Amino acid sequence: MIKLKLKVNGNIHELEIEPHAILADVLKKELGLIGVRVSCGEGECGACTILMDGKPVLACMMLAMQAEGKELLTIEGLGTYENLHPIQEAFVEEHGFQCGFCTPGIILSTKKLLETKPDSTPSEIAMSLSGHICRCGAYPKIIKSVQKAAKKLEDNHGKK
Amino acid sequence: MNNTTFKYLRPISPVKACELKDKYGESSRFWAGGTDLLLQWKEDVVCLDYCIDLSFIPDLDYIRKDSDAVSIGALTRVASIETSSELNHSLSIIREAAGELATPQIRNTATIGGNICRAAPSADMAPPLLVLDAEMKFVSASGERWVAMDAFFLDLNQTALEENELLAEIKVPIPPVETASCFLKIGRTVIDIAIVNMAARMTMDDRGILTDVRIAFGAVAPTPLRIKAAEEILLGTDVSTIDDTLVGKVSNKVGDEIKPITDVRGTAEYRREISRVLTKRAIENIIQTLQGRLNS
Repeated sequence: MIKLKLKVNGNIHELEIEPHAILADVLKKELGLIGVRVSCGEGECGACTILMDGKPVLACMMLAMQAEGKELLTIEGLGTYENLHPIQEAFVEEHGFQCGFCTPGIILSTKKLLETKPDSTPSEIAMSLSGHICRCGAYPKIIKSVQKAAKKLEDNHGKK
Repeated sequence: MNNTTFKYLRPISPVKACELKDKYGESSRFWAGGTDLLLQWKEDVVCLDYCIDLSFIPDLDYIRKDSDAVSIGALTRVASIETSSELNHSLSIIREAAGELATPQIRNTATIGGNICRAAPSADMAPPLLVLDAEMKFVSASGERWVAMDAFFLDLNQTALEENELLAEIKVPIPPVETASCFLKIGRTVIDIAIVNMAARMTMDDRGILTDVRIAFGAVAPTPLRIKAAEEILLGTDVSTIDDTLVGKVSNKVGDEIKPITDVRGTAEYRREISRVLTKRAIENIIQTLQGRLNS
């Protein structure tokens, strides 16, 4: 076992893990963050996407040890059930999912996209979400949701 | 083989990393982004007792431009390369290849050094670096040496790196102004491993004579490779006289020289045909650019 200090959703956790422990497993099993979804476990599907220092990465494709000292954000740190993040609101309003399994990862990738390029075109949105597979095939509504989220964030920004 | 766990080591400098490699030898592996190595370890394809995690070495993550070259630290993330403004003009094919490597999430984790050192036949970063005559800096606990990219790949998954050496930097010389380049990749989807990838680069003198021709292919042989016999056909020709017959001759030569295999992504025949087509597209693209410059 090996010591690991992990900063997730603003909280610092001091853990003891196996040196080979995979980040997704530590987030789910040690910290109970079940919004980190593991589907393929080999970097194809994007379900386990989290933000590391603001950038989307696959939690199933790295050692937990590699994440030490980084700022991690999972869907649990983005919004709460009572107080959804504008991107989450947009996905609910536009029905940007069916089963919802891939949704946490897609929403986190969307956060990064809209910070980088809020006026993304549908094809830019599709390219930036190319690392996510939605087996329900909700893609057209996902793209609409991202566009609506961009509008919501812009409106919020205007209010400040 | 049955992997259960390993010892985790975290050096903070390239020299410290090499000292650990000296100490533990073949039972240890350098771990960069880990996106490929982790899978190989999980699937028992590679065995290691010691994981030398390079993630905490800040010194090898940079893209620096000086008057004659752009130097890329081996631990630079593929995503940083994809968006680097230093890689412009004929070096932009490095950026393009980075932008087509796997998914955005993988590109935020995977490193250019890892992509090259893994020495997969399909490594997307390899063809651009081959045609741009990149130089690779190897470091070890006792010193450093430089190896030409053209001499880097030895065989399937094998490179010129000795057991105790670490790839530290990739130095890409800035070609003369009258240069044009092209990167092309055919994949099953935008995120998939290449069925075939390739790059080409040509430099002409002020009369339009080709003084330098490079054509490199990936996923059609045990390693990414230059197709020198095809390059030679074009070398010394006048860009204004290159016609379909000559382009056809070059692309057929590429077809003859490569040794593709059949796998889940495509048959050998398909790869050979696609390689011919990509050769034509790349030459036409480059010649059009060079002819435009000659006439302007």
